[in-house]
Amino acid sequence: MPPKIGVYLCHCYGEIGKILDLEKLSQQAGKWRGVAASIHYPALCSADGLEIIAEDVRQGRVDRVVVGACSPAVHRDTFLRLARQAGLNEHFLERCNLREQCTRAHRDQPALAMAKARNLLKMAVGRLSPAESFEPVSSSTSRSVLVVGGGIAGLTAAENLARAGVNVTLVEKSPFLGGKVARLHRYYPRFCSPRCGLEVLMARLLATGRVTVHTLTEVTGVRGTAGNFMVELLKQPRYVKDACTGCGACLEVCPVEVAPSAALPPGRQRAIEGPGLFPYPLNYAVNRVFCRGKSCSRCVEVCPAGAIDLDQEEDRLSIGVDAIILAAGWEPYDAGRINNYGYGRLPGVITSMDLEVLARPDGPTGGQLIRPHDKKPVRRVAFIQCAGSRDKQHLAYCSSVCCAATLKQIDYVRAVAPEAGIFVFYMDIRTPGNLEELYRRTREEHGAVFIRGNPYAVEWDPGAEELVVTADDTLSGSRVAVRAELVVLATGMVPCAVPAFERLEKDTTGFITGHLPCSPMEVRRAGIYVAGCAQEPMDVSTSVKSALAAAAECLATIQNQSVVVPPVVERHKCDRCGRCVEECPYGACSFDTGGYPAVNPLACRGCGICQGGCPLRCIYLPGFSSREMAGLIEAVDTGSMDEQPCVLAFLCANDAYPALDLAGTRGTSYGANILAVRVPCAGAVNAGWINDALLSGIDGVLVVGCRTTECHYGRGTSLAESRVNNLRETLQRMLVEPERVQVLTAGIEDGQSLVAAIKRFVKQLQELGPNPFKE
Amino acid sequence: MHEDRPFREITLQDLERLDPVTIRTARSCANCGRCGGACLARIRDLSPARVLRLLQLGRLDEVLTSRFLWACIGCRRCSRCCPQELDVATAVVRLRRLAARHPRATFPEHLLRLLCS
Amino acid sequence: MPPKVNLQKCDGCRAESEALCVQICPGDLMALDENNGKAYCRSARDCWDCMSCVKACPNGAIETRLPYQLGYYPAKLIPLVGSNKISWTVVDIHGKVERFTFKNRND
Repeated sequence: MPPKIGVYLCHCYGEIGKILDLEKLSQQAGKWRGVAASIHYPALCSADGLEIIAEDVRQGRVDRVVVGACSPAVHRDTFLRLARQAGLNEHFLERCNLREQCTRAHRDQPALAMAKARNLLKMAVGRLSPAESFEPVSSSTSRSVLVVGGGIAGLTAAENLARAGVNVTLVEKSPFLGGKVARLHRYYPRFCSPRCGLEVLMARLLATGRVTVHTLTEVTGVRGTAGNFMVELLKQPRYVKDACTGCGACLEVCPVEVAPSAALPPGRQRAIEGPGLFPYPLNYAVNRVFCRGKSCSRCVEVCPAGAIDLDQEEDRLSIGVDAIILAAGWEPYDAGRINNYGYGRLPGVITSMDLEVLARPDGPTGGQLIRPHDKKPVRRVAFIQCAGSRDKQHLAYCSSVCCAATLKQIDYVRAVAPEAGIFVFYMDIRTPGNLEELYRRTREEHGAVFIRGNPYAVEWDPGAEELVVTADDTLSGSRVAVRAELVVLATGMVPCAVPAFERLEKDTTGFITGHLPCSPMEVRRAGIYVAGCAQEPMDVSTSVKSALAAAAECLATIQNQSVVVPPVVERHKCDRCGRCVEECPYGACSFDTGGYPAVNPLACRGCGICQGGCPLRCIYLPGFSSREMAGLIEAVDTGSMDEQPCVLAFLCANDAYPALDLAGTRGTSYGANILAVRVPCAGAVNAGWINDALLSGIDGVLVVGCRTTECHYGRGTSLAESRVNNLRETLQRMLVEPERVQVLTAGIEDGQSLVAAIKRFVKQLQELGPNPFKE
Repeated sequence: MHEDRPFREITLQDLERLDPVTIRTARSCANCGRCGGACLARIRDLSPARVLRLLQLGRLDEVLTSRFLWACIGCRRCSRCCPQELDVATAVVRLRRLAARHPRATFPEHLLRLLCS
Repeated sequence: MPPKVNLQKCDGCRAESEALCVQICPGDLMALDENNGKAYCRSARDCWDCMSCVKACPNGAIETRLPYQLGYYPAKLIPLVGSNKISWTVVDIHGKVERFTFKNRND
């Protein structure tokens, strides 16, 4: 059955009608093939106007609708609602931009505007004739989430998801939960013990009954996409069974002392470890790196519960989940690599994480401020900020928490030694927001001396058995030396490596982050969310916030249906080359059992990068099949404006299309023969369309995307560039000027510069003359 | 010629001689430098900002023998502009009292002549 | 003359399965080089210049040199394939260009 297309033209209360002769246009359109009805009306978006279209659809007079009115970027839901109410498939409603890109842009040239309007309408009709209907695909979800990392971010995300009714699997690579936060003495801004906050969190998490915890477990593999991830887990043996009561008898007999770090002496830590002050899980764990194994077995003999089993073996398991929250956390930068500070070489040089251990009542000194190796009382403490940070030899970035952490630790020191002298070597003190108060208090109440300069060296004075820190104080322009018993290096944060996630896109600092600022939590693989210090260096309260944000974004994905209508695959044409699977920035495209690409609707974000790269044009978003695009392109009347070259411009819907709308709205005129086609991303433009355009006699083709760093979908513009460059090489060989096809970039506010670039392009085309394929 | 400037060790004992207002001013100073910009009596790099910085590093002697203390005309612009609301001018006046008693005080000679004649 | 593959442009159709030129060649002459994953013609003598591979290549990476009986280098014959049209650009040995466009269904 041939399509019955209705063409509805809107006067927009005169804004369109005063410039275009809609009566004439509507009569002309009525004669085109496939057009069953063609009318014009003062305002189609009014209730009456919408009713006219709806009535025609309901009566069966038309089954496809072209609305010639404002830009598709406005009144989106008005016409979507109309389609739904009238029972019209939403892909059978095509918007034709007669206002922003026609009457507004060419308001001074009504004749040209008329010709352009006619062309735009013909293109819309040409595209709609072969269109097919699409139904949104739904997929059921069992709703389960894997949380990688049992620190504060992971626990917070797990707790919120579990309370929302999601089944959570929590994996932690160390034997105990709590992460770095459980190792802190206190955390700012309230200076309370972190174990209190963790305890509350843990209680609420366990109360949900929806969490499975795997400690000593690492993720070894991730397959699939949002809605159906398969995750491989490797569980290391704990050597202690659940019968453990946590009595600590094993700790008493274990002969292997373990030092907490390179700078601290062994305290009560042994090769068999207890859970410390945050006992989740309660049972002890044998650290196989240090344990002497069965030749010793003293702990096995002494355990009253018989819980220790040195024969346990590693375990592999695989689970299916709908989404993953990556909260793998951070490691302190290896202070031993900063040679001139002598960490691990000079006694009394420790890192800020070491100081947290020292300050704790269960630390090796019992919370006393004495030098760990010789028990000498500490009268002066020197803090070195940016130890290895903002240094291209070490960490080029600022870890954002070390300043406030040092100020917090000065509080620790002064609490146990009120007379202690405090010296802080710094480059900049970064204490945003309320933390400024902490900085002020440290100066005023603790009398800390701040020396603006990165120390030159830390040396050991054997006579006085003291450390000497030397630096240039750039504020006073003088070289200073500070004697101290303890030097604390404020080392930065390095993201923990999780090999299974190594392929995720990272920022320049090596952290895994989403698209900032639009979708910061979801990484470039739909269904994986990043929280806490895996994302960027952050303090505890920011980690909690980021975990909540990640949980919220994750919930929206797994609870909801797909955001967009995903592309369809025409299997009979597909030759399974796998370009779409490889190029999809969200990993939404994977091979099904037959080896054909299958798109996961939960993961698809509708960028169309798959269709841009498909050599056979057998994967496409609704409205972009080769038949529809050929219909659109072949409808262009290239002879309508002889004096001007005819240009087909594929404009990215995020930035370039609204930018051109905006230019038109401001009355900036550009060549009236620029025919814009809205595409989701520059990466969605298939080279075949450009072939079609050139063969149809269109003089030049523009592909306008976002600037490479701003592309919503990551590589859209660069993919478009490489595809266009391929084509340009072929054109060159054919002795067709490659300049006829160009890729431009534009931001959403760049209407004026985009127009200028388009004008330059048109001028170039005028010099080149008409398209050689023009008959 | 390389300038042979040794590393000067920071000791804070001297500061115990200061009165509470001055010591609070010195400790609370965030080294923004605004007072130095506002000062009408600034001599080269000597300014209220510099005085406070030297105090923070415990170099009281240098402050008390500095000519700046006597150059201050008491306009109080430093106090008015301080973002931490510190009374810098009062601290300078208090420092003068100590300076007058310093064995190597640089009490301006013309004033000395005036007073002694 | 056999097809010549531009190694910069050829991506071996990502070597996921048979490349398009491999699939389409009626003489089964095209193959993927195991070392670099790029296409090549494994028996130049058997090629009869049907140009199927040139038309099928999505990257425009294949070029056919004309047989000497028809024209020496730089004579060329290059197709541009659209959805409903195909155009042939003919360049003779003097660099004279002619273009022919035919309607057909290609997708």
